[in-house]
Amino acid sequence: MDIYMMIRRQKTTIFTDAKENTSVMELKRILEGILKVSPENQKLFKDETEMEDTKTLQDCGLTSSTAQAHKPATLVLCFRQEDGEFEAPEVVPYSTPPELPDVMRPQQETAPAEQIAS
Amino acid sequence: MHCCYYHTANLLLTWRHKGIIMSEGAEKMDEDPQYGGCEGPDATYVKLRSSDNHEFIVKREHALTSGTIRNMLSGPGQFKENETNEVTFKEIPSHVLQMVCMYFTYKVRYTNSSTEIPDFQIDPKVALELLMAANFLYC
Repeated sequence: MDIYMMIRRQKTTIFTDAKENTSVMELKRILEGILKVSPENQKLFKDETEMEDTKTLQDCGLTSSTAQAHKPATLVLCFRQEDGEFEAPEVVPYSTPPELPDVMRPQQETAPAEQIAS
Repeated sequence: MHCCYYHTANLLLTWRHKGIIMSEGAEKMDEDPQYGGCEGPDATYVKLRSSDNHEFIVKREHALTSGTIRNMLSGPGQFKENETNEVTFKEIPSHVLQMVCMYFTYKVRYTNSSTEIPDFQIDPKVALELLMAANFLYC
């Protein structure tokens, strides 16, 4: 079964999917293709638990019920720094939506510009 | 003399393709270490950037759910996005773009699917901004 994940690191989020029985190492290879960082220099965390390379995603608690297409599971990625140590897992939070007005529409939205290629 | 001009033009084209020369308007966001998965016209992944500089990397096939992104990425080569596979949305904040990306995955997963399709939950606070983004993105 496919499972869907968001892999986050600081200001980057990668949306990807994989099979439940994919190994963590395989996932790191996918990330290597995108981010050009070798798997040895990557660390993946799920809920602050480090994911070991030999385990499968299912072993780490990612199943088709916890990691769905419209509710992907969140994993945190860290790179190895130049000094050889891994950076601390850090994720920059997203922006917050404005408060809901009572009944009135908010008035500050700008009109989106449309670009259409001819 | 003629071949001199041709050679220069050829060089310019190569340099531009390699991103050494910046084209007018759009800025090249990443430096040299380009994302292998995001390179070239057949890249698997594309990068979407929100107004607050969050980067969202999604599969190209998913991003093409949006008509606007499809046009940006596969229109005639004048769009810089076509080359770098990167699109910047100066008006879409990250919390909205995140929901947009989740919607792409949801749509691709459940289109023409015989399994039961779950509801796509939208927090009311985000709904209005999401609606505007969806209108802009044509999806």
